[in-house]
Amino acid sequence: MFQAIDQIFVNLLRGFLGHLPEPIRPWAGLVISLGAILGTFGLLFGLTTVCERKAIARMQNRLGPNRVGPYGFLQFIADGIKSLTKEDIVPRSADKVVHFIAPLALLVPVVLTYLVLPFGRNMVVLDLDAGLLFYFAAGASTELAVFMAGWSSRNKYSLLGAMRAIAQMLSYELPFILSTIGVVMVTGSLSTVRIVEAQGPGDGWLAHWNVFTPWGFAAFFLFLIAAFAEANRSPFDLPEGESEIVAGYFLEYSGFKFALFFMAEYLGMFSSSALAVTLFLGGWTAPVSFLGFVPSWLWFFLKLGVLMALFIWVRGTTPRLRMDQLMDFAWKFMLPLALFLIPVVVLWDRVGRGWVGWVLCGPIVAAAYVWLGRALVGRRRIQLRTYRYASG
Amino acid sequence: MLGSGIIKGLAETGRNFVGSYFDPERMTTVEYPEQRLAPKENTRQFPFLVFDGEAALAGLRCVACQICEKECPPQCIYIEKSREKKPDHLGKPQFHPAIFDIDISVCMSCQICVEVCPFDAIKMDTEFELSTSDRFGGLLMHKDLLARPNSHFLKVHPTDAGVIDARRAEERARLEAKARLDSEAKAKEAPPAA
Amino acid sequence: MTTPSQFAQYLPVLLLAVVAVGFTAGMLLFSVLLGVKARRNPVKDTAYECGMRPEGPGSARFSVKFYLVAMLFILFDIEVVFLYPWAVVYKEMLAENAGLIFGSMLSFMGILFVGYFYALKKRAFDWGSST
Repeated sequence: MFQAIDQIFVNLLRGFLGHLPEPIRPWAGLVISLGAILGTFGLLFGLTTVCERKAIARMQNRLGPNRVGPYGFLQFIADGIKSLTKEDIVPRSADKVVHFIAPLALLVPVVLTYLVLPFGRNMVVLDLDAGLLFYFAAGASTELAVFMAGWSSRNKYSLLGAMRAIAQMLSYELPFILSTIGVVMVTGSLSTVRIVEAQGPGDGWLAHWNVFTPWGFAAFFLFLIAAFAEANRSPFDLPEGESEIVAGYFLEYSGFKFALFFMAEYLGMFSSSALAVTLFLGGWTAPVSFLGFVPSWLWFFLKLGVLMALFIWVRGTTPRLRMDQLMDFAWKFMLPLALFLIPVVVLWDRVGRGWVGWVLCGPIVAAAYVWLGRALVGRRRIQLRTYRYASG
Repeated sequence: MLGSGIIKGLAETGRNFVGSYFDPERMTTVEYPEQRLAPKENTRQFPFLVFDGEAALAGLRCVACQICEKECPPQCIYIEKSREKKPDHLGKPQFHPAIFDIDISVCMSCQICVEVCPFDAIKMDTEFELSTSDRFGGLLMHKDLLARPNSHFLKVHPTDAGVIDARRAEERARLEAKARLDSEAKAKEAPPAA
Repeated sequence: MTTPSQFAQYLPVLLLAVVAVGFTAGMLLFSVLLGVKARRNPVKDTAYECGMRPEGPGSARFSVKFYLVAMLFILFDIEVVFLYPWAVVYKEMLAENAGLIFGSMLSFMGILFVGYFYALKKRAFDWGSST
């Protein structure tokens, strides 16, 4: 029974493919699963935009969108129709070809990253041996598209936004990738499916999620912070700082091209959250063994939803960072900490899991965090600003 | 320690998020077309012309002195004086505006016209739902559109209007008393002369 | 079961890329068909710079710091890429030859940290006005 619900989508696909002639089966299977992924995450994108607007409104004691459809949840359809019917303006000075290709070049790699993400038991399009490496390779090529967009617009604000975006994404790419090294070390594989299976419920009642280890806990937050920066989300939204550079690199895009940028940002956010779930939160596995009857894909989307809520919550809370704070944080805090976690993983692996590992590794990670944090903010003491004229 | 600030911030927004569902007092906005905020007495949007009595154009307090036209910073007022004079509420012969236009797409609601008007003829309205589908003509208000009875003024700015009405009544009473004294004096003087 | 060839294994990537390009290009075409086509004029066609007339070339010169960040990234990213194969074989090698796997990584990380501290002391990571 539980097995059937767990595998419902896999069996549906297999049953449907049984009716097709033999030679085209693998192709049809691919196309259907790709369509399902695009459809699911497209819908999730729409709903997330509405939920985000509503949640941030509530954080500011407002109501948020509540007119279109029940509780305003069809707002994204109205927005989509609006952006479809808008006029598409390309400035005369722009490099037309590059300007046209940039939104496509941004969206395609983002969509490609979904290939290697396991959404449930047996629910992965492509179980590559180098899945994680493929993810980072595809994910990193969005930076090129961002720069294409900023450069081809021939606009000072776009170019400045693109430069900021590149500097930021490059800087946070390092901790983003480095924080996953520990996971690869304890799993011994780059395959996302193997990584999830290694985190499954062990002999005890608690699953072996990587986040339940001292180094995994630290690496999870490093990864998450880097994912915020990669997605250009607040507090790392300098590349699209509305008050300084209008909208950053996609300033000269209107109509549906703008919507594509927006969509790429959200799809990128989903995929990096999904990777965080896969690497640290045990993918589709249940946290405790007695909850194992809940379908695996439900676990996955539940965890994804929690991370999305965190993304929205942080966006509703934090102001924008300054450029030097951004760079200092990446290079002087996250990079050394991520590198430092590698020997901690070795130590954890040698002394074994359990309380001995916690007693040894926990304080080491905590001490590194405190020391690096103090080195980062301690030099510049924050004090109340005094004004010459305005105070008094 | 690094990171304590963001936890404090997350707690604050989380409190707001939950609180907004349970405590309607927190909400800073209302759902506009159905719900409205209580009007505030000192609200000002765009000017209107006060008239007394029943007839809108005949009862305008404006005497076309054109002070407001000259003082208006964005110069959105256009006035043309009438050729003939007619008596005002004190019986004094005064001009009246043949044309009085305000382009409310230019008006910046500064209330300077109200400040400078010596006749309390122009006041600020609280009406704000003025959108039209005609971008150029629809926002040019002629005097027939601008004229509002004194009762409207009393409704939107009761304190202000009450003070002005009292002063005007006092002026008229003083004038009437003076006229009565004059006529009595005239009556006193008359018999010996006759 | 035979292992599929490298090309066959990555064929879905190509397929998804084609699907994604088709989807986005189709939506763009759809929006061109549905979208408003208003009259163009020179002011509308200029780059949007907050209502001001754009002055000078659209591609201005940039602070050298941006290029410094890019170079530092390339240096460190290559080192990160070298870490990956090491991490994959770490467990297997540990049983066979623990000294080699630790020694190689310690020397590698040592060199990396020397480079990191050099860049740190040279204030290559500082973005503020202090440089």
